[in-house]
Amino acid sequence: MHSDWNSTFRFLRRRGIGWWLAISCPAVFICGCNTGTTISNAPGHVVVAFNNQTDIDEKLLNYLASVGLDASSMLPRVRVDVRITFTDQSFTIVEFVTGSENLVEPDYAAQASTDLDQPPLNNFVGNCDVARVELDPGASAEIYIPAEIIQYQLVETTSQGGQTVTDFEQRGVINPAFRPLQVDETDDRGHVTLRRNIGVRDVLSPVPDVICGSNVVITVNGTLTVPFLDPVSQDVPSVDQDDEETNAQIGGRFEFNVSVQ
Amino acid sequence: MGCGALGLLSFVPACGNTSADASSFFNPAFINTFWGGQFPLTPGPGAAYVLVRVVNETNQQVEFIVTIEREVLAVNEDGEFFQDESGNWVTNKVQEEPVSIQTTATGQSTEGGVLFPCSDSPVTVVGLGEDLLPTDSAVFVDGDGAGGAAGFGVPVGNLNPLTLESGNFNCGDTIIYQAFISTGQVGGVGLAVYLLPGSEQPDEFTGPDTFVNLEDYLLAQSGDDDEEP
Repeated sequence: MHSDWNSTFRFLRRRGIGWWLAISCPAVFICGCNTGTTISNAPGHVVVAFNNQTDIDEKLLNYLASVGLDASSMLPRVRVDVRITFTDQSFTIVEFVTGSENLVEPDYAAQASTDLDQPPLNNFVGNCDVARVELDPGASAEIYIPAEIIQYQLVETTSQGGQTVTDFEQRGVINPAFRPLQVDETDDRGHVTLRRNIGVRDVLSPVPDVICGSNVVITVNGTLTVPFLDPVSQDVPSVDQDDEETNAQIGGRFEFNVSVQ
Repeated sequence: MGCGALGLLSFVPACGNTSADASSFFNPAFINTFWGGQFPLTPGPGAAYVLVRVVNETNQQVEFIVTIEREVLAVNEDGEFFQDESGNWVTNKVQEEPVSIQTTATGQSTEGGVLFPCSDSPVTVVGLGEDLLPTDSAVFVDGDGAGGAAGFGVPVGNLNPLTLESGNFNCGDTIIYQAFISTGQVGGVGLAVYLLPGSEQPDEFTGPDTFVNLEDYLLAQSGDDDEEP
């Protein structure tokens, strides 16, 4: 056991005479330009890491390739706010962002910059003791939808011959953007009434009373998908805006696993 | 408590219980603060990360802007990393990675840190400010200004970035940036940097080997195509 750890920090403070030291000393350590100022050892650390193990659906990859983006080696961009509460009840909210920064169809690259240029962050190191690690209350994990999705609506029209014809007409476009990943809706008995992006048993579980020195690793698995409305086009992302179930699953299906090491 | 906190360093003999160690009586985290040996303070020597910690002692909310530079490994026609004739991994560009670390005014969340992997793509520069320039804002202080004004930035000034080439740090080290109250400085905030070399730390602890465990777990999870850390 080392009893002098709290005095082994090397003080590199550069104020006032800092430039003089920097010029005269090739490196502060070699010259021994230490002032002896110290700070205390840390009590220990808890690492909260976010591990993005998602992938991209092949049909979406084919579409992106058709518009000029080779996304075969790219990782879906996922964003999640995690609250880390310490034993003194103070807390830090860390926004983890991982995934490829240029995963967007080329026509939208410019306007996607505010979302995609955000520097990635996939870990946070807190001092002991950590009371709880959880998804920030009220927040949702998000995934970046890299392709525009054309919205259609089935409408009835009357042809010149007086026949009623139903056909899909374009109504709008969902632009590439971050989209919240939502949990399945259930009834009072827990039966799924509307399937969304995350099963009720696959949500990000909170971790209470984290032992000092532990690692809390949050892993997200799943496949980024977008709908393709077959009657209109099997090759271009599209959706019937009145199809609640398909709209609810835009983004794909995901699960969160939390492990403590 | 008969022994009292003041007698901590002479705790065991003074209490007459020579067979007990300090961790039996105190939270190991507390022991680590004074004596170490419970938990690692640096990723090294066992794990290939650079740990950058920030410490806020300003009694105000502070956001630290930490930026590293790393050399990104080049890939060949097969999409694989490759080495030159001397056995060195070939790099083709320098990549900047800015990170924002939020800290509160008081409590345990006045400190925080981020791990930067440094095994495949070496971390070459560590500093404050988005572009590592003296004119960049190193920290943003979110105080309650007059009339509810927004916070302000404190420039990096002459707190020069640390460079691997100069030997200022190595993979496995812990670098600590401290913001403290200082009169006569911009914003009334002074900045300092400290280094704890990983090579000088032990590789065995009474508690979990935090960073080695993390590295092993992530490598096992993702295999060859891991996204670090």
